[in-house]
Amino acid sequence: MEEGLDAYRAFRREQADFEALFRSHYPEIVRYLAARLGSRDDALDLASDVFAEAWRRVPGLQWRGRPVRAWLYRVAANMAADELKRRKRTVPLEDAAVADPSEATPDRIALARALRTLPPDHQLVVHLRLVEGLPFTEVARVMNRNVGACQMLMLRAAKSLRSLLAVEGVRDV
Amino acid sequence: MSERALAADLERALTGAPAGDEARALAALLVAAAEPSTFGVPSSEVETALARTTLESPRTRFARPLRIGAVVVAVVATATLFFPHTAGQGVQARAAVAVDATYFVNADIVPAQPELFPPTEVTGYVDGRHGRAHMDVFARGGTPVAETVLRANGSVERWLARTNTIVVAPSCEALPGGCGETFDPLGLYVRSVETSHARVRHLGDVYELKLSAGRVEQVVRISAKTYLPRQIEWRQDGRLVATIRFTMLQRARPRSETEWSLAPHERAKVVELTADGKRVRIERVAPAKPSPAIRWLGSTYDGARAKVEEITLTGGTATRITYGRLVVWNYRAVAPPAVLEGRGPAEKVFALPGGALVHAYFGIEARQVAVVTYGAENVAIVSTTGDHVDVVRAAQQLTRPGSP
Repeated sequence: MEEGLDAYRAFRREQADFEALFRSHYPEIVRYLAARLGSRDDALDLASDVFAEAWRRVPGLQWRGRPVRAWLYRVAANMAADELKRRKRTVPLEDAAVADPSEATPDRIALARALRTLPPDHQLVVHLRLVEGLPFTEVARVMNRNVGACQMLMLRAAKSLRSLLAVEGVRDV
Repeated sequence: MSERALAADLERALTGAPAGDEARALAALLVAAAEPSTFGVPSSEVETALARTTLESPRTRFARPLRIGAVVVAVVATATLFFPHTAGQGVQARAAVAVDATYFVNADIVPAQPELFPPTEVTGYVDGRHGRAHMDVFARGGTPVAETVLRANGSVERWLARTNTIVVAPSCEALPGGCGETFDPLGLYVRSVETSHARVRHLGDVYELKLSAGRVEQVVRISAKTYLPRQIEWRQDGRLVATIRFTMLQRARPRSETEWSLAPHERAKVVELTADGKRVRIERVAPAKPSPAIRWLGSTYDGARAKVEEITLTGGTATRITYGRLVVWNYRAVAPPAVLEGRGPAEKVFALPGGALVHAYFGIEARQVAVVTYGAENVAIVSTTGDHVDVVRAAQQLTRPGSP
């Protein structure tokens, strides 16, 4: 009960203080979009769009038991999907890794590409748990699922990655 | 090992706890896949992006726009189209953000020509975030002229001192000249700085914003430091109509709900208007049977038998249940005149078990009213017995016909 009340208060605080919301979540949304799009520059552009939308719409959000962060990820995921569709129609997806290209190895590139081909919810669970380091209880709140379902998603993500890399002939990373 | 057990084992491997071989191999794969995304975003980049977002994306905050100065606003609104990005857009965005709060306002309004209208002073609160205002208008010398309350849903209540009349309307458009005569320049400015394109000039310690639309133009000087308005000129067809000087514009703490209500006005006559400006009157009365949709006090109350009637009002309908000197009204958007006329100066607000809200008004000529709001349905209890407890007690005993 107290947890719910705290969550509600946190939601209202974030809703009322856009600057704090931005500073807390902008970096993670950039990282998430970079993983989805394979380009940090594109991620910065799209993150600006996500927060422009948040600036307009977060003050009017209704409390549905989920943090504002969940709304941000949903908007970011939708925008990333639109961007990927647009790219498919125009230019082929680059195989660029997110990190410094000088550190990229063929296996790392294959791994990054494999991660981007996973379903969006698999990518999100990996991102929230392993990039942002959130506990599964928090991952579950953001993804609006229970902890067990999120753990199963993580397992499926790992198995899919292994299969995709096997197809590419990559054994060790 | 089942999938569920493997998933739990994988989580153990990810946290560094002892785990099986397969879980550890999968964990290593996941960590390697996630690793390229674990970069930091420098705080300077975050701050730059934050400034860009808040400056380049003016908010559209009003779900229901302010109706203040509706005649002029209507003209302004017609020009709410796409405008190209200009260098002044950042200033305009900051100006819009500056008034996105509750302010105490005091301003002098001086006509350009003495014959246009007498100089007036307005004072009160404007809640820019929710689109509410409560303004008093005074003539020079402090004589009250009018008091106006604009609610977030667009409805308006206006008291006119000359006739001691309170006009209640669903919107400014229902009033004979809109809300223009309330002269709330800040409300008008708040509305237009959000929706219109401003031409901006930097003049020393102020910016000058020209918010033009059709024949009406506001030339607003805002502080280059606080981005709050200092002076507004209203121009029409290029000619100055009035100058508004803000003598006080002070950020205020959020006001309680009761402060967004008219002050008591003893013996004021209440006139209710429909959306198209017609006065609400009783047009037809017909005997009826109690329907299960209404709320009442039973077939008898305090020894008096219920007399149920269907009432046709201008713009709506109501059910009237009379128990001697106690009358229960069921209505929706249009309130029966008897309910509004009974609203006295003192107000008590409380909730019933189940969440319905009760507003109780006491004191005008021994008439007491309690209005119980159940979502879109309203039930008013009007008593002429002069007993405060009467309507409050009755409000707590409302039931639907047929219910125990």
